[in-house]
Amino acid sequence: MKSTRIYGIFLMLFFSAYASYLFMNAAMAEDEIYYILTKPVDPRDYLSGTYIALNYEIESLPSGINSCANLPVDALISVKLGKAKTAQSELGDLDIYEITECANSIKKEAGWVSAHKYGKTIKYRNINRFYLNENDTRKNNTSPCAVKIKIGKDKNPIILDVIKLQ
Amino acid sequence: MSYYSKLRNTVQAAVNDGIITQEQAQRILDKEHKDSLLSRLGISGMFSVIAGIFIAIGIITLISVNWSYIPDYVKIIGYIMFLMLTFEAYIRTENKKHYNTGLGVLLFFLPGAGIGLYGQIFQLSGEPAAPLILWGILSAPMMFINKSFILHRLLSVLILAVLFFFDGGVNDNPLNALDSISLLLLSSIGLGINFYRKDYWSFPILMWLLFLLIFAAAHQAPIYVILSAIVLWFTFIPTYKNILASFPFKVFLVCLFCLDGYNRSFSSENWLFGHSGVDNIWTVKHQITLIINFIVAALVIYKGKISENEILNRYFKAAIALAMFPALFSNIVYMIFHVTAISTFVFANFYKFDILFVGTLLIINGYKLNFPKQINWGFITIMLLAVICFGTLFGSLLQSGLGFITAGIIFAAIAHITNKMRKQLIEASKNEIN
Repeated sequence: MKSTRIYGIFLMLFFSAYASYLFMNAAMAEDEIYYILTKPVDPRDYLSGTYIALNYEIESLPSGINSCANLPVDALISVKLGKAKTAQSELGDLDIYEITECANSIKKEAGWVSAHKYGKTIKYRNINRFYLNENDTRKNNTSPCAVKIKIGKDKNPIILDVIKLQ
Repeated sequence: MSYYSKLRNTVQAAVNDGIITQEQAQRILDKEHKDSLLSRLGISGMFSVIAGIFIAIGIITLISVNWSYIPDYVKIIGYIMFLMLTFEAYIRTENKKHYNTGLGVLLFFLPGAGIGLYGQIFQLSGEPAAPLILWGILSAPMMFINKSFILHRLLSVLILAVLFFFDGGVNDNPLNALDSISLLLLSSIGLGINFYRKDYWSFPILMWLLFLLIFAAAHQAPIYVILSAIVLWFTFIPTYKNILASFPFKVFLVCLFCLDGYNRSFSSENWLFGHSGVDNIWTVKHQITLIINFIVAALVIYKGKISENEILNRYFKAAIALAMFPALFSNIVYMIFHVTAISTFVFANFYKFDILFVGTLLIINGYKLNFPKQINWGFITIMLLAVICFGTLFGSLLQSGLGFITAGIIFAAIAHITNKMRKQLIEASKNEIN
């Protein structure tokens, strides 16, 4: 009985602490909002429900940027996001951000976001899925979208919304 | 000779020797028959569970439509409260075995539900295996707390799921450094639990996990085959004869059902070979693994590990030979001829007839020899096949809450009817022998 209680308390503390950390990370995120182009598909997850999987055009290694050319094959890196173009969406014109610089370390400065260099691709961390309600019309959308993100205190992007482009 | 026949002979001998009276002998036999054979969790229990799951999924789906209107903090607090209440209920029902085991199973799943909930609320994504691994680690202590083997098996299944879906596959190898360490940790915990509980049933799965970790970078078909052989070798070391007596049969059935899983996983264009060259190799690789499994299982059976009766042995051999046929022959066809949709469909579904064959023979054999355990196994085998067929035929209808609830009610009805039939068959068999 004692070990069961200890285990129960451990699980309660774990899930409370984990929730607190995630809330804090989002609350202490940088103020600036970024939009990144994406093209979603709509699989389901048995643990978390319906989501759209987000594929990013810029996941292929950006060419012409020297700092991105000499990265290791498999490493945690940082990328700097910069305004590249504007796109029309159902909410109006959006500034679309792309990678402008890479660094082979986790950069703490504003505007830098952590990513994973894998082979010839750069994968953003933590923004590969956007969970939706069952009756959300975006569920079956596969046309290009923009992902609205903030950069969390831990330098990982936090996904806020997915907006359809026109 | 079946267990019941043996018991009847022993009891009759005791009557003849004047140790007990005829009336006492009959009461012992009746009690044993009722307690150990009819009241066990058999096909009706299994179908009731399936029915419960379907109804639960239906209700959950209905709630999920309005899910986004509930504030996040309410969901989190609600989850933690539910977790604590379940723990309290678990502690308070310590003396009621069935409730306690049920709540233990619920507690096993709750960390997974919590991880899923957090993933949804905080939009967490990334490595798909990571939440399953975390779930395994968080649920592992339940194995020490609850004495039921059900939980132990559930953890094994969870590890197997991680292995099956996330061992590299046709995409990039997802076993990055962090996950490798987590997997290693999880497998170490699993191995520790195995030794602590002396349950070697899931030992091969954990061994497989460790070997996969070591050879993760290679991912070549021969290695896979060798690993399977090693795993099965460990499985059949005859240290615990009682546990392993019926193991080859279980391995065989699991392999057959896995074959369905393999086919479904790569069914983009046709049922057997998937849609690209890489998938073909992948599928063939799994089939070779299956063939090795069948051969080892057949060898063990041939050596007489299952010695309940000879007729059953012959059935197994025939069934194993049949099961090997589509896997082996379809690969030859694939290599020599162009595979058509029809031939692929036939080969991919051949194993279903094999399962039906095994199940029917088990029921007939069990009836003739008054061996109710075999009747139960036969029913379980055929009804599992029915679930697969139901999913194949009506899976597309299971897209709404009401669809799941309807399926749940159908399964509950099937559970009731089948259980009635099973009990009647066992009673009829007993009366015939008497």
